Amino acid sequence: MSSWFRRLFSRCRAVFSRQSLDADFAEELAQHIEAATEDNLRRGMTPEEARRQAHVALGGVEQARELHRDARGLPWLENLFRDFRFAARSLLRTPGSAALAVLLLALGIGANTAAFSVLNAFLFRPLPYEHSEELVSIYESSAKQRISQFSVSGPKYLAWREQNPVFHDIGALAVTNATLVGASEPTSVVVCQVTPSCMSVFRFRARLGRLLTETEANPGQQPVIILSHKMWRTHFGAKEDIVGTKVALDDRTYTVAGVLGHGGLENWDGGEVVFTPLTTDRLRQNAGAHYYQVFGRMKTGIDLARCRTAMETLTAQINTTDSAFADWMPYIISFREDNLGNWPGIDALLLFQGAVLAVLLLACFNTSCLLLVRAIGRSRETAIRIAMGGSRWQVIRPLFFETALLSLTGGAAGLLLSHAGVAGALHWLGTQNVTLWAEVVPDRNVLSFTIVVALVTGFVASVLPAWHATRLDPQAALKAGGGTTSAAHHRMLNFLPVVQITLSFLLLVCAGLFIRNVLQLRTVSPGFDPRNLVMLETSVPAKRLQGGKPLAYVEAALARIRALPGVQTAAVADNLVGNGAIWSFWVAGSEPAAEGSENRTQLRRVSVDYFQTMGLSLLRGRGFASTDSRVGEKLAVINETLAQRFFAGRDPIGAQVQTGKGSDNRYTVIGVCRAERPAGPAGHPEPMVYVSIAQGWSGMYAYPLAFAVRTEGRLLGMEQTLKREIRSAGPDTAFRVHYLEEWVESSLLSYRLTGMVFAFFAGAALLLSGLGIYSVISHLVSRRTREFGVRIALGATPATILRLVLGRGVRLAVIGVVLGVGSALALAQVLSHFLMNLNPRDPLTFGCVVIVSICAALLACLLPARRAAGVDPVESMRAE
Amino acid sequence: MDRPHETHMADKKIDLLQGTLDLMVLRTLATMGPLHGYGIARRIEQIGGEAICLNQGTIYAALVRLQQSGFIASEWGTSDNNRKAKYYEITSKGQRQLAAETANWERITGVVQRVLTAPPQSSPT
Repeated sequence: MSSWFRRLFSRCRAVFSRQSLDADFAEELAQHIEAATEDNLRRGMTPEEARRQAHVALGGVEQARELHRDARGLPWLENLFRDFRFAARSLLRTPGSAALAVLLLALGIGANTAAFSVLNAFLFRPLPYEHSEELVSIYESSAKQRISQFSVSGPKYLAWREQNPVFHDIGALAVTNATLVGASEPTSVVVCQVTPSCMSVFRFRARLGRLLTETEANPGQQPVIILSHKMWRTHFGAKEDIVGTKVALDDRTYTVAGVLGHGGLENWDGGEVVFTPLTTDRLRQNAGAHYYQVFGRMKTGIDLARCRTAMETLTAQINTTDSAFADWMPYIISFREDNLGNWPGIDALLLFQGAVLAVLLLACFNTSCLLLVRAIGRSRETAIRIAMGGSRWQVIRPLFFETALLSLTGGAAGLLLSHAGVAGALHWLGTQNVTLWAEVVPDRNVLSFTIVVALVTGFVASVLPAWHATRLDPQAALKAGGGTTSAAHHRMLNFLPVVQITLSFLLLVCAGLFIRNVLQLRTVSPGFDPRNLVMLETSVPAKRLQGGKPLAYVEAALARIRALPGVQTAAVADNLVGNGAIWSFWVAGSEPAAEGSENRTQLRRVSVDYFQTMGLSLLRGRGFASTDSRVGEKLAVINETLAQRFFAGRDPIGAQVQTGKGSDNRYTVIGVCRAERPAGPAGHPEPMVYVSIAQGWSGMYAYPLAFAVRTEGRLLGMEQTLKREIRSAGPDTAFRVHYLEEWVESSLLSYRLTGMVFAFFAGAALLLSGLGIYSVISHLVSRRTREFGVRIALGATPATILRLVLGRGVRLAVIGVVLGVGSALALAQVLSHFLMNLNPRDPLTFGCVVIVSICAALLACLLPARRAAGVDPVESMRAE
Repeated sequence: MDRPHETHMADKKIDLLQGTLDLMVLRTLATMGPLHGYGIARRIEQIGGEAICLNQGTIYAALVRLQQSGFIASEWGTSDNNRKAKYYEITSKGQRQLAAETANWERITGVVQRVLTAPPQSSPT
């Protein structure tokens, strides 16, 4: 056995020392012949005969050399090297077109690799948790209230945990915002209150100190806090001795008990994360309040279906024990689906992958075109080879090696290019505020994808030229005139540009639609006036306010802000644009309709100048005034969406409405205002009811506040001044600042980016198609040079020739456009998913794209056409 | 030798399998000591007689194989008539291989011989 390895090793070595081994053996053979000749001479032969017999006995020098070579090396490997070397040499003879082909393939393959890398990170790579396929998210759903996915109530979670049938463990999590003091400066953080079991469900690891223990779930323990790894690095300078130090969260003191290892939860909805314990007594409160997110790790061997059935049976039992549980059943999905499935970006990513594949196809066809033209140019050489007895396979072999060389080189270059592409994609994802679970790094999947794509592309590109070689009739090709391009050639040559035009038409239509969409959305008002409007979001701990209520503090802060130069108006709300507590809503006196989402509204508590500050125009009635009394009748302003839904046709002013049972939740409507679009112009207007802060507040330990300030013109440094003024009116808190003009722009960002990327792809596609048409028409012109010469000699004007050639090009373009229109219409359904309020069959866009395509085709044909028209008849008939 | 005789010989040439040629080369080197390629070929032709009309080129392929497996070693030296020649020598590993292969060959040929010369017998009861 070992001898076999030794042989293999020697053989591999021999591949690389070919020349010296050859020389060595040549000498040995020479000596052999000499010795044999001498022997033969001794036997009495003549010198020539002696030498000849020596050769015969040897069996031929060349044969011996070949046997020697085959025995000592790896013949198939050496053949492969030789074929590649030959392919490289023949490609380098036409460096221009070879370089072009490699560039095109590199771009196409690189773009695909980039798109696939990102897709890979999301769809295929495992989440950075141990055995992430065992993790599930557990929600509740109620058929009666027609809610399919809702947070879980505390006591239900406790009951599940107690009688848990199919999980290793389950844990609960609640999320709030708070200000953390104790770091380099007060920071706004997201506080994840978790049960200790939650940490063990995800199998978090502690980098320093420890994680939460079971005892900490009991009430009355010393409050501890666990920092996320990122938090520790960026705000605490990665101090090694941080365990045991004290920090304050909204004025409650916590002791740092540990720091999470890298790979744990780093951010939530864009904010940085810390963990505090969720105690069981908090969970026990209020069975009707659905406040918690629940996660579980399934036992090994349990699959999702079994898990669901088991939990449903269990819940049916549990629901009988407490009426508050009512008919809430569990809704369980895998953790991966929970995080990815709802993310609309996945669709966009798939769309990109589709577009990028189209570009690759185009590049592939262009390469095919190039190769076919070369192959046709080499028809004579190929014909000679076939005539001399070469099999078709032997003739096609070098072609495959050439394309393999081109595509592998292109693939390697593309892999390098894809790094840039991935950086771009990650930038885009960052704007989507997405929690990136997995790092986008090139891994085995991506590498194999690139290699496969490169090889398949190469193969597809070589199909047509190979087919040309097999259909070649050597006789015809060797005839004196070199043969004219046959009908089959015509068909092949026409096929490629037509397909290219179809694909680029498709991409152009997509780009056009997206761009139009963005332009349209720009004109849609977000409801409020975002110009020169800034909002500062913060959270104030109740303990630090006089009287425990924020009213005095807010009014003092607003007074200070209004006194600043450059400030037009200022107001405060209890949450930012886009957020809002959800309450029920019905007109007093009528029945609260059967529970469902049609009877819910968002509620916002605002100060007096809110509507002026935000630029929310009042359609009817009035806003709040400082003269409204604080006690007595509660007043509310509703927005037009709500008015439309409940008071269609009637005047809502003066009507009484309820946001819950009881007189505490009864309001009189005093005005109707325009609807805000919380997600920017691309979002839908939500129903909203505004009530005065003077008449009630929400919050327990801390009050969330959003200060809105409208300035005269954009003032630099305003941010710091505002923060200072607000802080001087009350406790020191952290702020998140939002410039609403930018906020509205960024909500359009995904549409803009999609439009830009498609425009880029479409431009590239158009360029490629133009090149394709150019090379085909150019080739045909050069083939028909004699014919043009004859025509001109017989009296055709340059214009006629021009028309002839251009006509040919336009015919191709028209066929391509017609096919393109057909496929674009077919894909309209898919596209409408990505467009907001735009008809995917928009005639204006289609018309423009048709014109652009045909013009591009004409332009591409212009140069060859002019060449054809300028043919000198005498020259052409002389040349051969 | 005249032509018709040669072709007659070619018809009777024994097709040598790779393995058996290797074996014969090893044996030659074992008995004759270090030899160059031509010498090995001549020796095999002498012993094998006229039944063998060896394509001497195959010897070199066999030598390559044996050398790569470590059964023989080579060295450039001077032949009797002051010529440069590459001499091959069997190694101890080669000796062991020779012994093993010879035993194997004898076993195989013994079995084949017996089967081919076995008289027709009544079927065993």
